[in-house]
Amino acid sequence: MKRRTVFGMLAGLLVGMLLVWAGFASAQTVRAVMHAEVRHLDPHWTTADITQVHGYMIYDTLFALDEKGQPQPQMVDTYRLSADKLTYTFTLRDGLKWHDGKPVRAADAVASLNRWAVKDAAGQKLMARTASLEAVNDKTFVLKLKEPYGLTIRALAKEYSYVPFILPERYAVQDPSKPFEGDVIGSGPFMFAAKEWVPGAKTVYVKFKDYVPCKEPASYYAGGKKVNVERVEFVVIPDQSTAVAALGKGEVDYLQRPHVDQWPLLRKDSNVGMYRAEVLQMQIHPNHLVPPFDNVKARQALMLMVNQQDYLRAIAGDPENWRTCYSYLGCKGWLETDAGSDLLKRQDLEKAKQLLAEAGYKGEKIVVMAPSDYPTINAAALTTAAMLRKLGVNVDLQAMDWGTLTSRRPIKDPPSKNPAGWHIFHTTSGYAALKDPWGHANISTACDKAWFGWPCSPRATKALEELGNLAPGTDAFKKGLSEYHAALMENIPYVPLGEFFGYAAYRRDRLSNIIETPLTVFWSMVKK
Amino acid sequence: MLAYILRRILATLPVMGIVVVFVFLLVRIAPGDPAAIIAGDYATPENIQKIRVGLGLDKPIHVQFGIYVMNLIRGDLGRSLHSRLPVRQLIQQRLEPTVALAVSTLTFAILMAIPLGILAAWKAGSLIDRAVMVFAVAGFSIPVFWLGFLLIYGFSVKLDLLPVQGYVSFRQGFLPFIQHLILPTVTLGLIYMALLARITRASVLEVLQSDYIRTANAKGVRPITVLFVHALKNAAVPVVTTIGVGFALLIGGVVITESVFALPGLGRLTVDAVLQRDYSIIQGVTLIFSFVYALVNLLVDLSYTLFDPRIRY
Repeated sequence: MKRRTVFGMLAGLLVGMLLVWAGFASAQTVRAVMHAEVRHLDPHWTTADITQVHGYMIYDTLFALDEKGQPQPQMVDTYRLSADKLTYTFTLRDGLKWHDGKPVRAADAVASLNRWAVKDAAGQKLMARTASLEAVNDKTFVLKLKEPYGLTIRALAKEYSYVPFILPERYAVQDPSKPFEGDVIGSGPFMFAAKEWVPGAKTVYVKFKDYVPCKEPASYYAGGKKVNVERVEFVVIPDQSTAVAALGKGEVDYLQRPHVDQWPLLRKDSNVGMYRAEVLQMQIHPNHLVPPFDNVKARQALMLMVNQQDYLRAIAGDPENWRTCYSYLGCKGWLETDAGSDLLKRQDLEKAKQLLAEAGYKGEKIVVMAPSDYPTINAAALTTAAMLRKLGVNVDLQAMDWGTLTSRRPIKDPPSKNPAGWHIFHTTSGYAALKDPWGHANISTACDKAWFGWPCSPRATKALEELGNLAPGTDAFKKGLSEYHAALMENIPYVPLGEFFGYAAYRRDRLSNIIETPLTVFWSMVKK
Repeated sequence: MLAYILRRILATLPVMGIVVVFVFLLVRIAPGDPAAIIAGDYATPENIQKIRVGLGLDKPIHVQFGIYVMNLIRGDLGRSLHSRLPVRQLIQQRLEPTVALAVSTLTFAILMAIPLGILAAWKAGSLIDRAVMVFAVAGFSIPVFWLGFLLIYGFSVKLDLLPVQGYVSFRQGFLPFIQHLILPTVTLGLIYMALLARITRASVLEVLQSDYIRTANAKGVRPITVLFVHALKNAAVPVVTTIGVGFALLIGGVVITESVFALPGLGRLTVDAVLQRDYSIIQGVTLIFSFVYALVNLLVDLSYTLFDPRIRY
């Protein structure tokens, strides 16, 4: 055989191997465009959704919710509750390891829960009832309560910020007001590739080969977290049109939250599949400390001003993208109720004007903050401004970016005294938060300790506390739920504007087995 | 010459000092609270305050400034308030795509614009001259993002010739590196091409009226020699100035192009830092940009001596 022929064959073989290698490498890598960049790596430090997504990649939880909304053991193997309902004994599963190879211990769990509970509302409620939380040995820890608390396991299975991820003890004992110092080590199904992290541009995770998934099939955030890909890259593409084009061309495999404007284009592409990833509730938050909204009649006027369909069309367009919902606690969920929601179900502008006048409104400027860099929230703000003007309100619509809005909303002073003061802002809550009022900061009615807007309703606060002690599904629970919701409707901490959907888009010719969770998870996912 | 260079470098120090103070104060006066942004939407006011204290943002402003200046003297630009990574590392990560885009854009613009500008000046008043000027006006007028989207639609989506977005380092392969740079380079380059062509035309046109050019023509020197050897060299000063300013602007970041093509450059780093109120990054990149501007100005001034031997420092 001629030398030239041999060299040619070898070269061809090498090229072929390289091509195959390249093909192999990309088939094992999922490239996803997420809704935000991973900037913060400590999920106990920030409530940012993307950091919780990061948390689900590299950490694990003691319990997690399944698709029926029921808490299931994850890192916990077995647990038992004493007869007096005051002592929980948890035993960890065998084979749990940190990414540096060390075994996960009960002390890690204890320290992590203590750190999580410093800031998390559900954690604070749990710890307020806790007498002690201690590791007995490397696999077992005991939680002793001062009084029975039916939401204990549900709190440990919390699915949204702050998720009670378990960190190594040496990180969990650090001050939660600062992000932990040290390498990012978890015990979850993926490892964080720190050297490849370019904040604002790319975040990379690689499969943790020593992860031992639960035996149960994956279900929502619970069950066996079996990883079928070698690598996941979160790629930042700031422009929505570019991201959609990249998905169409196959340069990326997944878009977590494409904007509603892009959905018709995505639906036309036969290579692209979409699924409903989340449900969001838009809200008008009035400042309860500042006239006229310190008067409940003015807040009732806001409710009567609202026609949810008008808002939802402005926010999400076609009716297939939204639904009206007259419950604070979400529709089609385990806490759905519309007790006391008559004011919300009808629009009556004349009555609204009358109530505003009775609340003492005399034509002063009403400051509505509008974040122009959040299209859905901005749409709601513009709609509110237009509706208020129909009521004869002197609206001062102030456009700003979200960063400015978040820096102004802690201000309690009226705009007449402080130019940074405000009357109204808008925001959203995810469905996960709506069905967990104990952990949902937005709906707190704890007066000075409440969220921005500072709603104050001892009746609602007490009703929520009592509801947490009742067994779900019982008549007492249903009665307690109605009482709580009626109390919310009486106080109107904010005005719910209905629910709109968030869709994720993916290449259906490449990805399958996607678990449809609001915070995207990448276990189970298969890439062809 | 060396003394001149040293004088210029020393002269930048007070300028950068003013920049340090100005930017430090400006970011803190501007509305926005990094602690609130870090804490996220569900955080309570108490949690936000804890974060503020944890980051040292509750300290008096003069204390924060003192800490910042002491670190700066040691060459430490600080850490990002968000990622907690060193600002220097974050800038270094973004430098390669930024420099690659700047160099490719200017190379493309220079190679196209200078011959066009010379041609327009040589054929002043003709159809060619008018065509070049129309192109120049169009170049200024076309929005960068529109052009970018058009090129993506044509060359990536429809013709499938080039990638839609992203940056690939030359270390990962020269071909993918070039492929990912072509569309952003053409998008940005067309605008610089328009500007450079216009400046070149004006400058060369002025020089073509000179006596020595008339002499060269009278002596029978070939037109190409007259244009590129005699005229261009003497017309180079404003052209080089424009190239220098263009390079500095490109290094400063072209955020729209970076956003359209998802290039992880310094422009996006800066804008993201502003939106996130990441004071450390804003301060760090502003300082770096100031230094780059000063350096580019110095290099441009020094380059004049190459084109005009009468200029001596």
